[in-house]
Parts: sequence; C-alpha cells; structure tokens
Amino acid sequence: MVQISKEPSFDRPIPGQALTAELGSRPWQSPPQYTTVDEVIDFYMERMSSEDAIIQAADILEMGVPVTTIANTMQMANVMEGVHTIDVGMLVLPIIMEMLMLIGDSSKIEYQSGLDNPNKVSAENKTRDTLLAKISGQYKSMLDEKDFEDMQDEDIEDEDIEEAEETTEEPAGLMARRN
Amino acid sequence: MTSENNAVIAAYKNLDIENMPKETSPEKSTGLLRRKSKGTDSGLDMTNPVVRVAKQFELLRNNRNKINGTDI
Repeated sequence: MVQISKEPSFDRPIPGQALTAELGSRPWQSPPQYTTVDEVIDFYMERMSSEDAIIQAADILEMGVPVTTIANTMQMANVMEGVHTIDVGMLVLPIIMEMLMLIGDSSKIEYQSGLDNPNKVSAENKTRDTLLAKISGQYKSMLDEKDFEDMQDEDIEDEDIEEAEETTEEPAGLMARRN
Repeated sequence: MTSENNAVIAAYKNLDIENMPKETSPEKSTGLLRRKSKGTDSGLDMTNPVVRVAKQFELLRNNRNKINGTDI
C-alpha cells in the first residue's frame, strides 16, 4: 500500500534527471558481462563460496536481515554493475537464496528467511540485536583507543599521592597530643 | 521492505522442484538413423533456463537437508 506523506520530500531526483546521462553510459545500459543462466549461476557460486563471503553472509544473517532482502540486494547490485540483466537475476534469485540459507544452516544461525510473513521481521525484537552489536562495536573501539598503560601509571601516581597525604596528616583535634 | 521482496518470494516459491519431471536414463540406440534430441536425453528440457536453475537448486536443497538432517 502506498503511503502518501503530507510533508513534501525534497530528497528526490528532479523530473527528467534520468535523461541527463548519455544513453549507454550507465553499466546497466550496456550489454551484460554474463548472458546465460549457467554463467550467472557460476558467477554467484564462485563468489559466495569464498571464505570472506561466507563470513560476511553469516554476519548479516546473524543480524536478522532476511534472506530475501540480502539476495535481492545482491542481484540488484550486480544488475547495476552490468554483470547480468535483471531477468537473469530474477531467474537465479532462488539459487542465491538457497545458497544463503545453506550458509546459515551450516553456521547454525537462526536466520530470517523472509518467506513466511514479511511484516514479521519488524514485529520481532531483532533490531535489538543489531543495536547491541553496534553498541558493543563502539565500546570495543573506545577500549582500543584507550591506552591502558597510561591509565595504570595514573593509578599508581594517585596511590602514591594518597599514601603521602596519609603519612603527613597531622592531628587537628583538641585532645591530640602535641609534639 | 515488504513490497520490494514480494517478487523475490514469488520467484522462490514458484520454483516447484518437487513436481519437476524426473531424470530418466536415455534410450540406448546405436543405429545411425537415431533421432538426435536437443538436450532432452535425460527427460529434462535443459534448453529451458528454469530447468537448469531447478537442477542447481535441487543440489543445494539436498545439501541443506543433509545438514538439517531432514533428507529422505
């Protein structure tokens, strides 16, 4: 359902902006790198079988991003880069999804497939996980920036000062002995 | 996010690998007058891109089932 906002949005392309670039200058306007389904399947299989890609995919699945969204983003990005056409992309989408689910299953991740109820993801508490991951990342970088050796030196200096103060303290009470 | 993925969900769910035609062993014929088939020796129309996708998809699904312990 289309939601009509009452507030005007200025963050949009102006009418005719799509025609300002020369025809054929965009990657998706030129012939694609791979034309057949087999080539595109090989392309995705090769890319998604690398260790880095598996780790990245597992991280994203762990964050609670649905498989449908990841797969669609991947194929759309490659359409934009001129790797394949959008129709071949739609054909190979189930394979990308199945591959992502295979990564999720082999990594023992409880991922969101996004197939059951698309609204379920927002209804669940999954955003908290991503928020926690972000906060923990920020905290980790903050700890990395801090120099612990300096902190330890400061602590030692503070302790010395306190000890010195304790030793030089003179009794100030009325009943105190005078030297 | 929801409306964008409708096409993705449809593409995934429409790939009905359970009801795909099964592979059959090709008929043995050594005669010179044997008809040449166009990639349909196994009973599958491999000229159809969807069939090719379904074949690959089936392999991945079998692997997943093995991992999950739900293979038959």
